[in-house]
Amino acid sequence: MGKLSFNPNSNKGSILVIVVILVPIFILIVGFVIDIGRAFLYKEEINKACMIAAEEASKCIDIEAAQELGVNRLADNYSDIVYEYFYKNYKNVADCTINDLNYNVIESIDNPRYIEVYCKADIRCLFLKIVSIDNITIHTKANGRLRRIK
Amino acid sequence: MNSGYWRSYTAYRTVDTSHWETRTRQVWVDTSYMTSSGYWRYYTEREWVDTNHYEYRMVWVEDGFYTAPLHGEVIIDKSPKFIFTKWHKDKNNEECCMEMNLSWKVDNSELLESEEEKEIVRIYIYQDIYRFDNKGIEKVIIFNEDISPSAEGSINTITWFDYSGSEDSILHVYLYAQNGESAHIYFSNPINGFRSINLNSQGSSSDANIWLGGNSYGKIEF
Repeated sequence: MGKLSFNPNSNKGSILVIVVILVPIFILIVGFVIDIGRAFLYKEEINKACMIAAEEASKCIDIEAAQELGVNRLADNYSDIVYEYFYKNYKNVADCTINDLNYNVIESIDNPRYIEVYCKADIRCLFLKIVSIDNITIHTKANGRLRRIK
Repeated sequence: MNSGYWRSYTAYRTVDTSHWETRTRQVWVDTSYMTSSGYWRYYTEREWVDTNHYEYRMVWVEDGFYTAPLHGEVIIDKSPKFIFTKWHKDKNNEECCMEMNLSWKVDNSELLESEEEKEIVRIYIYQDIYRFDNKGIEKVIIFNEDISPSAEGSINTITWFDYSGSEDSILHVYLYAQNGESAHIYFSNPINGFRSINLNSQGSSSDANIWLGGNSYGKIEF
């Protein structure tokens, strides 16, 4: 007949197995949270730059046409203003790559209801690489419009 | 012998039984009395005091004469048509402004005999800007100077506006002749201003704003 006895040292193996399984999962969760948080931070920063670019571009009117004809028409260089003010307000960092910066004038240049500035960027992941996720792609968009003071 | 008999008869006589006697009764004794009390005080009231009277006074009487009113022609040439505040840049990247040329020509053809030729001696130009959001009226003096007397002439002004204003904003031009006669010309001159805003993701379905204004040249006869 066998002898029943409780020996704590006999559980060492099972704890080790649990630790080996849980620690990577914990690291993965923490890494996921960190990488997603970084992506949101970058998205916020890029969105801010898009907002400023959209605002400044919407102010870029053909002032000569406005003064002489009273029309509200976008100047030819409004697209340059989009890029100029975006990059003035976005600090380029290695972890974030701007893949696409685009704009769209809603209605027409002769009747610009508003300007839409769109940006797509890749944020390099730090921890999610473990599970073969190298980048998180973010999309952001901002609208700007000119308004007469009234 | 005495004979006779007794017979009755009626006799009247006055019996005075009156006398004094003391009786006790209640009677009303009136002890009330009239009294007045008070004091003197000062008071103020408005009273019309008629001071009309006849008097003789010396007055200085100038010799008067009939005169023809000021007639002529004013040309206002404003540039640009649509005015913007100085906070915006024009095509030369300079502050937006309003340039105005005012020229006048007094018509002295209908002067009366011995009447002096009329000349413009002073010009006063200002603008009342009716600001938005009930922020009041901003008065901008554009020109307020004596000029060398002339029946025909012109001036150029440049004005920068700090505030935008509605179509109720009026530009006033006064031309004064040497004897005090004046001509007043005024017209609507709104001042434009703009800013940019961010919209939500829905954007906007309303068209772009148009600008206020439009008068750039005016020829006025008075």
